[in-house]
Amino acid sequence: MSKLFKLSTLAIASTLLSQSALAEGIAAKLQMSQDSFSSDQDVMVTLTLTNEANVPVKMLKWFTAADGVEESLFKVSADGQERPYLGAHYKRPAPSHKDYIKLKSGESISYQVELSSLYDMSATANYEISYDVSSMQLFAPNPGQAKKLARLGVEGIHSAPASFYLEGREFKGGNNKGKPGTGDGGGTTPDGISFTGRCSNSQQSDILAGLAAAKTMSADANQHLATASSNSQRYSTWFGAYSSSRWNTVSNNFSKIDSALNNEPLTFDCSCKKQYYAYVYPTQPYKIYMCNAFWSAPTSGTDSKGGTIIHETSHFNVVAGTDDIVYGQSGAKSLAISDPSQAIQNADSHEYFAENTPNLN
Amino acid sequence: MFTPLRFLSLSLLLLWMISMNSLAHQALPYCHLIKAEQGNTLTFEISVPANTHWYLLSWHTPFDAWFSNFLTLTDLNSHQSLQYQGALAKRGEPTDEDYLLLPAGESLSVSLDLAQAFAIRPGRYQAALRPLRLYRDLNDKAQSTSLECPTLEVNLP
Repeated sequence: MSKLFKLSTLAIASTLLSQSALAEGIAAKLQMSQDSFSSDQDVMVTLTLTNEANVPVKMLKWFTAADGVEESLFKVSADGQERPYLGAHYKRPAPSHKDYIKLKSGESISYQVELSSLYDMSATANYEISYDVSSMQLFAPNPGQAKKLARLGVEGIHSAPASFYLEGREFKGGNNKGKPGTGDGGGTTPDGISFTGRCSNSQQSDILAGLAAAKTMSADANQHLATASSNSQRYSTWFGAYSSSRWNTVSNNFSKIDSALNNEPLTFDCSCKKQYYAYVYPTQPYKIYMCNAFWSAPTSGTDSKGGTIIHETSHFNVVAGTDDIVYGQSGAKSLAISDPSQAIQNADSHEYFAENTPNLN
Repeated sequence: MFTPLRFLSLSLLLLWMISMNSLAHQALPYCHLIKAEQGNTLTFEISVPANTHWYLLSWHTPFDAWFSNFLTLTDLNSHQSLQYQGALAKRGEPTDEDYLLLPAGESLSVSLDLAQAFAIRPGRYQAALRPLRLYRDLNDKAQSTSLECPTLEVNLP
């Protein structure tokens, strides 16, 4: 990799010239938002880069946090043991002018970075973190500078370490210790729940609260279907006129949803940035991709986190194989009246029956 | 008697009838699927008549590939539909950005790589789209029109 970097640096160096200072001109400082964090708190750090040289410096954006963290920028250890970086590495073409940011002499620039989505922080420990970037590409290409950097042995920017205490999620619920993270953002809880796609502490906590609500809802839905009479208003509102075969289908669906939520290895992914609540591939159980609208949804009630998890779980072909025929409460109510056989295949109809808001008997 | 007032109200009524008639029979866009030259690709095209624009709710249409199950592929030999393997997304209410403007007199098209959502075995299939939902005015979404695109029979490699 470093050979490749050097080659591309040389290629650019021969075409571009810039007035840049030496690496030792940039100072990096880290500031933690708190000294200690609970397992549901995001771990925020402020990275400040200051140009202490008396000439302007251009830095490659990829190694700052200008566009979010796109490389391993930090060295993180827990009780002295290094923790792996779980975020993305990018294969990129050689940098161009627009990939650099310029710091004037004396100028500072600060970035806020959330760390629990980027590094394995599942363990309860004293953590130490430092900004640690080494790349021949870090500074704007300049033939004289490259040679001087090499001669001085300057390879990058390193900050003094910052430290904090973090109560890890894996010790929650006793001594049934979870497996360490398998990469890509978060690890596995004692209940066999996995997180991928950079789930931060607060996102993991939101998902687990939503899952708990979903289990309560599915248990309640099962209970209702097992005990209610055939003129149940709750059933007819969401699934339409009673027929024993349709009632059986819905009962079967909810018993499978409940079983999946309680017994199957669920994986939640946090990488989606779309304006959906969530999505799944029906042929790929049991992985659910959480999107923007999920995070602002209430834990229970209409269109909640719990209900969204019910909705998505119902889509899996090995569970209930539902489709999205109509969206929203009014659409689902109309469908129940106009076409009960479609309603029992509609994911939102299952969600609203389970959420049962407003409460029906 | 043919008073001026009566004439005015009659002609207003006539104008109103003409305008209602033109709303009801407002020239609808034409939509269809086309087999592309190569592989398992279909092109969806929607063409809008001159003089009038439309809005299309992009959910559950080819412009939403593959976040909803908007296309049914039926094997004409076995009469079985292929299992959809793309994503299904839960969404809230559509926002204005979810409605695609179809400008008057223009055509919009999108290419669909079927292999991304179906495990296709060589054969002859019927491709059927969900009906499209069209709107004249985003401030009056209560007024909408459903548009069925013709199905396409196609040999897939």
